[in-house]
Amino acid sequence: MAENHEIELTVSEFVALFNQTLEFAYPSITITGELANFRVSRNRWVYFDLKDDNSSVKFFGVVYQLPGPLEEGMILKVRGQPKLHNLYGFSVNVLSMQPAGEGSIRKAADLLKAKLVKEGLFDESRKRQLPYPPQRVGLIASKQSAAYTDFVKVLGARWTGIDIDLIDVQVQGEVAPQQIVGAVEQFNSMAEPPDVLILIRGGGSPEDLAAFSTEQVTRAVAASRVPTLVAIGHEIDISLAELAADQRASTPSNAAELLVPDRKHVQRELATSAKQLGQAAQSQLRSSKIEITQLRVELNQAVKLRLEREQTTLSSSRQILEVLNPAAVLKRGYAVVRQSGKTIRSSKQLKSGAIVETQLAEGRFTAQVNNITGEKS
Amino acid sequence: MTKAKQNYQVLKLELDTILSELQHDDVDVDQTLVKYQRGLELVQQLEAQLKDAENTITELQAKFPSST
Repeated sequence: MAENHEIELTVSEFVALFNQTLEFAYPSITITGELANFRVSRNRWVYFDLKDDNSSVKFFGVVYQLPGPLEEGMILKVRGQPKLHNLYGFSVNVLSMQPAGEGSIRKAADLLKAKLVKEGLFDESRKRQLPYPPQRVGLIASKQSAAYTDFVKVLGARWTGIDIDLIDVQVQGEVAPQQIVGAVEQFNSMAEPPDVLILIRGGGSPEDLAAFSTEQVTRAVAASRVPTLVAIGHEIDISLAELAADQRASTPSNAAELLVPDRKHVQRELATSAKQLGQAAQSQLRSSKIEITQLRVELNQAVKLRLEREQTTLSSSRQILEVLNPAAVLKRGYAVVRQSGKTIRSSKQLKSGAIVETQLAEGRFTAQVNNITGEKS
Repeated sequence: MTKAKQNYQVLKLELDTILSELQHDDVDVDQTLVKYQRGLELVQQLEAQLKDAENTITELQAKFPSST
């Protein structure tokens, strides 16, 4: 009787029925266990087992679902759909996967970090200077979070006139990485992107902060064309996204402090500058006044010396003139002899009996020429 | 402001040139007196400009008082 009610199926029909039943009972299921027999095929397909002390289950997924490099023995939390494959048997098709437990999360982060370090993703040479202060900020955070409130409050207290565009994202849980990556890409693809991207989240357990150490988020931060500032958790928590950012801050409040100067401090500096400016102008003016006074003195001296030099030249000329004066020659006993007003320089010019006029230093007389002798005296 | 400063420099350069000429007998006596007179005019103009500058500084300080 019972046999009559048994369903008789072909193999394919059984596979279809089995899958339909499973899908109805478990549309998706999350299983946590230790990773074993992990392998990647053709750089695309991923095969592994999750096991515990008594059981082992096969899983199948694709490479892009991996949270980062994995190592045998790590504890993974995998969400997937159980399926019976028509050729290869039973496995769970992976929908998402992430390391579970502090040890595995840290181990996974270490492996991923080593891989990204090797790629140069965290190199200092990639770091860009953030605009200081920026005019427009693209903020990626959870609007409900204390991190968001702290950031906006500190920013407003220090500086004003900054536009903040918020993309509200979940900052933990399975969808967090995808939402954060989406927000980074959305800001980057804007026609007028913001001056800087800020990614913040408050403190939490390693599991809470795991999204910020995933490969997708880390790569998205590194690839952002807009400069990035990332502040995740407390001072001691350093996520991979922070390492990939152009600048990291220890807390969301610290991010606001790094992003803009303190208005009061700037005002004090400006006041000091204004004072120094006034002093510099006064000092410059004093120097110029002293210089012009000195130039006036030099001008007076120069013209006085110039005239004195002229005076000296004149005196020399006077002396020379005096030496050349004929009166001075006559004083020494010489006389000038003239005939009819013409000075006689040679006896040849004279004839016996001629009347000549002789001029002495004092007085003159006329005389008659008697005896003409040689030409030279 | 820029024009006045430029002017100051031009006048100052002319005064320096006159001084140099007077110190090196480059000019005759007639010219010396002309240059001397010009030199004194330049000194007067430069002093006036400095006085103006001083007044401008005082005015500016009154116009932009210190906030501290």
